[in-house]
Amino acid sequence: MDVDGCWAARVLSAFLREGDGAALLGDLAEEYARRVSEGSRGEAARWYRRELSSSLADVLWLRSVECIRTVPWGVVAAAYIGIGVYEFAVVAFLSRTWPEVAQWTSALRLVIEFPGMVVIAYGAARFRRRAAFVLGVAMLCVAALLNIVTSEPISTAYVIASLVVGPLAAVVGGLLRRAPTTMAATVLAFVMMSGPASAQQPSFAVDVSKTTYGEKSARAPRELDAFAFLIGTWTGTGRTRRPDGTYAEYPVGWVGRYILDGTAIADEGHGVFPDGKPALGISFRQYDTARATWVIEYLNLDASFLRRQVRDGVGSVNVNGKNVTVVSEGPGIAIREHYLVTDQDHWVYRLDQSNDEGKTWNEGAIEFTFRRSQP
Amino acid sequence: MGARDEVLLGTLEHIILLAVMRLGSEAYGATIREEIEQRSGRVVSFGAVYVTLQRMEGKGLVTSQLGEPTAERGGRAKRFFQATPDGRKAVRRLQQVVGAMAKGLKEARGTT
Repeated sequence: MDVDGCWAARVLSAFLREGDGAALLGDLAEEYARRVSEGSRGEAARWYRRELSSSLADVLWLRSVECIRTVPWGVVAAAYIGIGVYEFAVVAFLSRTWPEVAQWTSALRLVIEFPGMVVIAYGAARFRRRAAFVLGVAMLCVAALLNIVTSEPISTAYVIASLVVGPLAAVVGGLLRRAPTTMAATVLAFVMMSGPASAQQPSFAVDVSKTTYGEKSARAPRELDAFAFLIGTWTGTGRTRRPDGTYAEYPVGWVGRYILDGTAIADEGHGVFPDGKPALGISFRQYDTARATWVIEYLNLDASFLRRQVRDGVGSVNVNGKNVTVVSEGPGIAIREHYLVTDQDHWVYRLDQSNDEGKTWNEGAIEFTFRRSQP
Repeated sequence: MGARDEVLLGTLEHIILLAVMRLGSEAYGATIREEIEQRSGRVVSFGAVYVTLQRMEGKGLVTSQLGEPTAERGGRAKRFFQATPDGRKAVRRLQQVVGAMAKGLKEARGTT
């Protein structure tokens, strides 16, 4: 029975001091030989496997407990608090000098904070060498937890930066303590190389003269195409069912365009209420790829309200081929808006309304039939 | 060594240290494990024995040295352990503490 070279021997050698792994396996071999001479080889082999497994489990468990007991928790906690204070100071400074980056969910802010975090981790490692590495693990765990529980919209870049920058800074700080010259040269080279690279990054300054309306951006999410049929100028006929069951008919118009550098759609409706007053409203439609959800808001100009129609967990957008249904709810009212696309030059807007939380529906309460007026 | 400087032994440390003292010059992994099993009925894995002995060596309670490799052990050497004066003192002190605490206690004598 020999396990030399197998993974069990390597694990024992890694977690025991030099010579102890071999001595332990020697004890096992000695006991195995004794059991073979006294009984059956099969029984001795079973004992050997069982004993090897329990020895491995005990070595790993006892080493883990020792490791946790010897962590300099005080130094780690002090360093973590130091990083928190440092982050507050950086955000306060950036809010005056570079407001676009002074957001808690800014990936660039984290990158800017990297050198300071390295210094704090280095300071912790000066007290206790292992503190920097434990600090890195703690930062990684906290960042992962915050990313999971946050209700704030966060970008993929921020998620990656939050998981990488802090832990990497802690590791670099710890290595600086071990091999200061080598690490300092590496960090200096990194800074010198990243300087020109960051200079090539797109500027956060906004040039509104280059903002184009009416054109979809290549960066726009594919999901936005569901509402692409709205783009253009539309005229047609609207009708609203009166309480007595008769219909009021009136001319209607609709204008749809891409906004915000072609990453969202704004479409405004022009109609007439049954009493003859004009009805004006505009919808803003965006697809949030980070949260995989639609965001649709509706501003009613005549009644002066902004209604949140669809957002994460509120309302829904259902796409069925070329047709789209938007379901939304307000205080005491539920609405289904059907966009029925006949072809690229014709579509119909139909609104169903419920005043009893969706138990009964007034289907087709409002219906607009459009034809393209201008592209 | 004041009371606050005394090395406190855990249960497993105490048992292993007693086994090392009983075995004298023949104390190595297999014999220590066997001694504990025979006298206390407690089965301790070789892994637990080696980790505990290494920790006690760090505290200065035992010393160790490698022996010669033997064929029956697959060419591997034994690591022999020996209790240091501090180790013997720690055992004596713990026995005194346990004895003092148990004195006059019926439950400690096994009579309920």
